[in-house]
Formats: sequence, C-alpha cells, structure tokens
Amino acid sequence: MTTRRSFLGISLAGAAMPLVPGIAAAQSAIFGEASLLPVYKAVFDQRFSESVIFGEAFADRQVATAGINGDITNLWFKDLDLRWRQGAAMVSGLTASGPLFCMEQMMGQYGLRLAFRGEHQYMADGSVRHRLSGDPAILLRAAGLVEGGRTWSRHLAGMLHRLPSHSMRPTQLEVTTPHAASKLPAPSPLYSWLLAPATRA
Amino acid sequence: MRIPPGVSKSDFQAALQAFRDAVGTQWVFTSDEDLDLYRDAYSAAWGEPEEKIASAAVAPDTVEQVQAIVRVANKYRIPIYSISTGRNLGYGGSAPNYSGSVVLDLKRMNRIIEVDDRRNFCIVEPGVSYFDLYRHVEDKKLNVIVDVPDPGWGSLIGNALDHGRGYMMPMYRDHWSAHCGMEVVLPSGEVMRTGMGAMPGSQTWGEYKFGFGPDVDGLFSQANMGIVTKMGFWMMPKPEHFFSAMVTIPKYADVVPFIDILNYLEDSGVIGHPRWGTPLWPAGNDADLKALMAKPGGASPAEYEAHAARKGVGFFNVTLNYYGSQQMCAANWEFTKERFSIIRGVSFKELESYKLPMTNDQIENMHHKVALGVPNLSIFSVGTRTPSSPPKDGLAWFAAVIPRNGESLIKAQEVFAKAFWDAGWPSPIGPYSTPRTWIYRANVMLTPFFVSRSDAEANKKVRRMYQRMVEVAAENGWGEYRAAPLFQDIVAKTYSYNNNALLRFQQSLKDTIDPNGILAAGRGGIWPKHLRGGSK
Repeated sequence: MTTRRSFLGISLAGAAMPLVPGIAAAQSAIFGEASLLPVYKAVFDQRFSESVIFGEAFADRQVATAGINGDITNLWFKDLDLRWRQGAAMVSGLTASGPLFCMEQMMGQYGLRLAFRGEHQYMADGSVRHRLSGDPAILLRAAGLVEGGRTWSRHLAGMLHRLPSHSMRPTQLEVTTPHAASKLPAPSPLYSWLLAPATRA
Repeated sequence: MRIPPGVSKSDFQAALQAFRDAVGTQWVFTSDEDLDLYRDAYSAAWGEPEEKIASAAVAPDTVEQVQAIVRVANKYRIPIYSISTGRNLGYGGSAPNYSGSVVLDLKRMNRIIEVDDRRNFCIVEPGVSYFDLYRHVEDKKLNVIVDVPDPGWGSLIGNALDHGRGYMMPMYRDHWSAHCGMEVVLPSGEVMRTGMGAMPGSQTWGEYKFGFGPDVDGLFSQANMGIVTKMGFWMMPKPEHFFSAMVTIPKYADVVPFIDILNYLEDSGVIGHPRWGTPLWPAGNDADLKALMAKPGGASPAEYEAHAARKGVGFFNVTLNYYGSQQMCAANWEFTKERFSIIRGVSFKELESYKLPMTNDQIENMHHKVALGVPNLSIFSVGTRTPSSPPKDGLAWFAAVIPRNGESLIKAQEVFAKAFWDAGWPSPIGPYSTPRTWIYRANVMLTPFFVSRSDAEANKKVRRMYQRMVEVAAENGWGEYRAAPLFQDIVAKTYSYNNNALLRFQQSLKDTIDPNGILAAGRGGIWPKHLRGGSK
C-alpha cells in the first residue's frame, strides 16, 4: 500500500552554510559504510562532455548508467517509472534543466525527495561556479570540486554515488572550479541532482 | 498553520480531523514542505502576496471519500479546489484560484474503468494520465490511439475540463468535445451522472453524449459546479498508415488562400492537425533575422519576405498529417497538392510514411510523436543550454481565439505587435507569427509570457502586460480560450455581452448549486456570493 510519505516527496529547503575546508577531512568518520544507500541509476546527457564524464565515473563504480539526448521521456517511461512503482530508489543525474524539472515535478508521486541539487555555470573566465544545496553529508565532499579542473564532474559523481541512510537538514554552499574550460561564450548551466527516498531506512 | 480566509482556527482544525477520518491521516497534508508541492511551478506571482497557495491538501481514493470531503467542507465552510494530476503548467498548475483553499488532489483516483477498441472509447478516473492510458493500450495491444497533448503527463479529465487540446483528427484533438458522459460529485455531496451515464445500467455511456434533455456537462468545464470523478472519451482507431508532408508558401500575402484551403481540407476530413511553422522564427544565430526582430516598431512583411528570398526559404509552411490506409493517404495527399497549386510558387515535401504498427526505432525517430498519440516530455528539452536561450522559470500562456482566415491572422499580428511596442516591450509577435490550430474551427494566437522565481518586478510587468493584451484582444473581438487563475477574472469579464449576462447566469447557477460557495471559488471567473465584489 502506498504510504503518505510515498505519495508526497519532500521539497528541498535549507539555510546557507559556508564551506569550511577543515570539515571535509572529517567526513569519512561521520557515517558508517553499512548505512549508505546505493544509487539505482545515474543519468547523463550524451551531448555534453562534462555529463559524459559524470556517467563514466558512475560506471567505474559499477553503477548502472543511462544516457539521454536532452529528453528524459524514454528513460522515465520505460525504466524509472516502472522501477519507482516498485518502491523508491535513488537516481542521480547531470543534465540540462529540463530533465531536472521533470523529475522535480514527478518525484512526489514516487515517495522521492531531492536530496541534492547543483547548478554548474561556466563563467567567462573559464571557471565553473557551483551552487550546491542538499544533504550536508554530500556537501562535505564538495571541496574536491575546487581542484577538479576540466574533470570536475568526475568528482561530482563521487559526491553523489552514495547517501547516508539517515537524513540531515539540507544546507547550501557555493564553490568555484578554476581553469575548467577555455574562455568561450558561456552556455547555460548544467544541473546535478540526486533523488532519494523521502522515507529513509 | 495556514488557514483559509474567513475560517476560524478551531473550525479548520476540526475540518482537518474530519478529513483525516474520511481518507486516513496519511492523506491529509498541512506542512509547508508538503504544500510547496501544490504551488504553481509557473506562477507569475512567485513569492508575492498575489501568489495562489493552498492551506492544506487532501487526497481521496474513492468517490465516497470525495463525497465525505465535500460534506465536511460544507459543514465548516472550507473552500476546496480539485485537481487531477496538477500538471496544467502555463495555465495555473495545481494552485487554487482562491488562495487558502484546501486542494482536493484526485491523483490517487487513477483507475482505467474501461477501454473498448471495437466501439472506440474509454472511461477513466481523474488521476489517469495520458502516459497511463497509453501504457494500458499498448500493453493490452488495443486497437485505439490516445490523443495526447504536449507534454503527456497531464490527466485526460483535467485537460479536457480546461479545454485542452491534442494533435490528431479534429473530433479527437478537441479533448472536451471528445468527452462522452461524466460522473460528478456535486457541491451538496450528491453523485450525479450525465449523458447516457445517467441511466442505471447504461450500455452506451462512452458512445452517446447527450442522453435526454439539456446537456449540462459544460457546467463542469472551466467552472466550479462539481467535482468530476469519471469521464468517457471517444478514441480514434489505430490507422493502417500514417503519412505526413509539408506545404510551403513563398509570400506573406499567400496566407489568405493558404488558410482557406486548409479550412476546406480539414473540414472535409481530408487532413488531421495542420501544424504551422516558419523558417523566420526563431532567429537562432541568424544575425540578419535578429536585426529584423529587434527593429523598433517591428520590421515589415516585405522586409521578412526579402530576407526569406535571400535565404531561399519560404515564408510559412504547414505540416499535414494523414491517417488511414496507404491508398487513402496517397489519394488525400494528391488532392491536397491539387488544391494548393493555385498558390504561385507553392512547394511540397513528403516527410514521413509509416505502416502501423511502427517499430520502436520508427517511433523514436518520428518528427512529432504526438501526431500518433505517443506521449512524451520532449518539450522540456527544447531550447536548453544554448547561449541564446537561457533557462527560464516558466511561463503564462496568452491564448487569444481569432477567426480562421488569413485576414485575421494578419490583423492579429499587427494589433498585438503594436500593443507590445506601445508598451515599451520588444514584440515577440510579428509577421512571422503563426497561428495554433488545435481548435479546429478557429485559430489561436499563442504567446508565452516568461516568468521568474527571483524577479518580482519582472513578474509585475508580465501581469500588467498580460492584462493589456486581454484588453486589446477584446477590443478586436478576440477572447482567450484558457488562462491561469491569476488572469481568469480579467478574461471572464471580457465575455460581457448584455451587461455580463453570461457571468450573471453562471453566478445564479453557482448560488443555487453551491450555496455555501465551497467549491473552487473563482474558477472561470465565477465567485460565490460571499466572495463577490470586493469581499475576497
């Protein structure tokens, strides 16, 4: 029987908290491996190299991946919808805004919440500004984005491939990856996201 | 705790408990986190006092639970507002007209009651989405097609009740016209059925619409006279073949005979939905075209024609869809070309030809999947991540109905463009603007007003300009066919013949049918007595 919490997801909210580099070193001591939730599938957009790298990083971790070309219809209708009808399962992605919007609109009916949301904007000087919000357990690992260079999305995948089974109040922070690209007209942002069960084990 | 206007805290708490008793505690939602899911994702008043928000939400699973909720609402005078799947983006989403209403979320009522592919109809509950019905039809290999809108995640009932449209043959793509009989929970809590559904043991609910006597179904569309809990729809049989082709005209003035011929073909049953296009919009990376569009006051048709001629492209084109046997499609296409040949310089291009059933690859590569009832979400991947089209936070559709002739299209382009330029807005409308043709006996000038979740001043400008467009349209005898709750009052007021006789009639019915004014206050511009005038 569908429960109340599996009918509605919980939308993302939280207060801003600046990144304190020293905390990053303590992250591994905070949560035990046994209580980590696995990602069912990682979604990447085949049109964008950063997104492909993101997908490859998940594949390296033996997580199933799904490539789209901007349109999430088939992945959702033939895979995610059917999987989620059996129960909430974590899905991560690095896509343009459209697929994330679709997931945000539909997540509630599957008992999912947005555990993490990132906006990754290329700046005119070739850096990438990352605006992140989500579970602190994920954000604690964000320091690695600063050193990520052109493969920042590989580190991002490392941040998102698992989630502690107990939730914490979401927070926000902003970091920048310098020297991530040549100086080009900046395209619109990419968006990273992690959907997780609204009810934790 | 959010409390509906005019309701005491103690009454609201008692009502919430009564709701919980009716549907179960887990299906009553009051936290801010829960209720944020019922905000209009495309609100033109995001974060402002004008934004329409819910005070609570209740999700029943059966008609009996809906009745119980309505009785509670009457007892405590709680305003309620029903939604199906709440995906009416651009026209209000899941937010109520009357801020503070309790949203009655019918998404759990998602049963497909019946699909008959010999008599070609279905009967569904409000929570059934186009994707749901498509999956059902395909899994059971039924010989009918679902006429779907874009995107396909909405409710059949919700879409029809808001006069939504699809993309196939006329009698199916007008989703309200395709409906056949309904079941309604009245504001009294009674259940009523209409059409042939009103006959106990009816064998023709999904076939014959009108039953006997006055047809009252219209009282429940874009209105607040009842909560629809079942609806029948006529469905199109799967054709043996699908064929599409494009007709292009070189000159702007060709649009007059162009539309006359399209009217003849569609009204004769030769073609399905005529989907307009033009190589002159969007400008993309064409600097010359961008310069034309940015020209103060707007560039002339002659300037756009000259640009089209330099580029070797036409001015307008239309993609036409044909359904039937392969022989029928071919014959109808030949007839189409014969009719259009009176336009000098017209050109023709065959696009797609499929024998059904199609392979997965064919479906995947189809230009416009909705032309064969394949629901999708591809509209959300349009225009993403390019420097010229930054992501926006949503839009409000302005949709004015204009006559189905070329003269009116030309006039509407001129009138609306001038309205924008006069208001100091670069006009998104110009000689390149094409009509929408889903309403198969009229055209629609559809314009998006983009909204923001971070710029309230921009949203205020949008609301003012939207209102101006409604006024300009009415001055020219063009009315909107659909609007978000923020704009429904101003749209309803333009249908003002004989001192607003229509609205007064609707209000009389409302006062009789819903004396406590609990149901969807303000929907369609119809307010209950206690909220009329300045008392909202």
